[in-house]
Amino acid sequence: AEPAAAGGMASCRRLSGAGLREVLGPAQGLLFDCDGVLWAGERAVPGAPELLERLRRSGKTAFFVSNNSRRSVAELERRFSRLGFRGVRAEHVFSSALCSALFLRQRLLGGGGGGDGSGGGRVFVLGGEGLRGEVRDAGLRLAGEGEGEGAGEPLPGAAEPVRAVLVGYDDQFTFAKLAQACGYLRDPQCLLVATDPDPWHPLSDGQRTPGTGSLTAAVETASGRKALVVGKPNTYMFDCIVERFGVDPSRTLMVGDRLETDILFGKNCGLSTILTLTGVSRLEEAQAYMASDSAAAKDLVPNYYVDSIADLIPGLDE
Amino acid sequence: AALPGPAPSDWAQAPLDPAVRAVLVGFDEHFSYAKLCQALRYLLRGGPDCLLVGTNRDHRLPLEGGTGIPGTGCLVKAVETAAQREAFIIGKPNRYMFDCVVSEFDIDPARTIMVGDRLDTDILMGNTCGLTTLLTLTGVSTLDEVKGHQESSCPARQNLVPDYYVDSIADLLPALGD
Repeated sequence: AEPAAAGGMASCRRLSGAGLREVLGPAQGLLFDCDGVLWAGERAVPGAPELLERLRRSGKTAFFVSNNSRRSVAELERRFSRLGFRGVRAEHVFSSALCSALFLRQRLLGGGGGGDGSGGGRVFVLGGEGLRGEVRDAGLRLAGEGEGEGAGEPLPGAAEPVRAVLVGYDDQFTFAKLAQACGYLRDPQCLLVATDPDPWHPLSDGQRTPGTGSLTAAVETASGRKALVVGKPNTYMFDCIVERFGVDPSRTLMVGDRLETDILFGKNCGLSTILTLTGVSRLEEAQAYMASDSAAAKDLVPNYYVDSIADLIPGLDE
Repeated sequence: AALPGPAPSDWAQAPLDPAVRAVLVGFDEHFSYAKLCQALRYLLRGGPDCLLVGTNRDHRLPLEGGTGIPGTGCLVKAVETAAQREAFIIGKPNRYMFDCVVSEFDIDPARTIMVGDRLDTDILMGNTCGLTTLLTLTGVSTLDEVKGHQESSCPARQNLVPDYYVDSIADLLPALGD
């Protein structure tokens, strides 16, 4: 097995046989992306539930790191269960929705979590109910809720200022919301935060649906500001995991299907990376990055790859 | 055509018009995620055979009183990001519109003046097309910005510097005979 991420370029080797045991043996924890790794659409990747079960029996910890900002952790828990995954613990699930809320809580409320919602300002969220719920659960107040906004008349006693615009996956995005976000962002004190940079997501029939990245590009262009991006490949979600559980990067593996987010995230966090081929990225793309002259491209090459995470099972003790 | 159902997975099932061979992004105050979805579907279906065209890249449309609303450039960027490809841009500072004028009228760039209020669209196009450029100060750009570009060592910024300026185009009147 090759040394962990620091130093030379990864070499994208198929993980099998003796290599499997060499890599999985010393690992204490594995971080899994969800879409395209554990499941595709409404179907679990065959063998994925068994892999998680075997990891648990081997005494290894599984964490879940998802850029998908549609779902709250509670929704994700239900999804795990519905798709046949047993024993997944909520506190091990890190979605970009949750981590964006934690990030905003830190920046607006100083990390203490103002339970009564006072001070700190409001957050204008471009996103669905899953994302909005996580922001509320973090003790933040949302712009446009409970204050008669949209009715046209501001209520007496100025409403708390909007201190952050949060761009997430928003299938109800409109020009009007874009204009509203820009209005708030005219205040240089107002943060611009995006849950993730993903330009598109695959649908089960091979088509694609636009991702948060495309909406963020619109808001950035309109406001002249750059968004702080919470999700992979940025490392904030790993910081959240480390803060809760104190993992050792040198004993932790990152497993994902998207080179530009999952594998780069692993590299950025000092983790060895495994690309699984049940999702977005093709092996040829990894090989093309490996052959590229650009230094940035080298960081997108995984240490290892497997056809599916079920291929990891033989690497675990019986 | 109306989209079936409330969610993107439904919209992705709506039939696509087989005759569509271009996606054109202009100013659209009714822009929505659903439209962005459909644009992406046409671009993926057609690949290089489906054009992606943007009318312009202005990021802001100024309104009275110093306010403004998001410009077409924002919508173009959203489509470009989702489709991971670059749009062909018609508007200034690109030269396509100037080429349209030239193809219909006999224009000698050496004897033509471009008059505009924005350095990064009007003046840049004029300079790129070999016109004499005249900045009027009744609009967006200021003399301070011109100075900043003039003093910059970046060659690209030199292209934003006009040949001349006036406070308003009314100042041109005295130069014209009776």
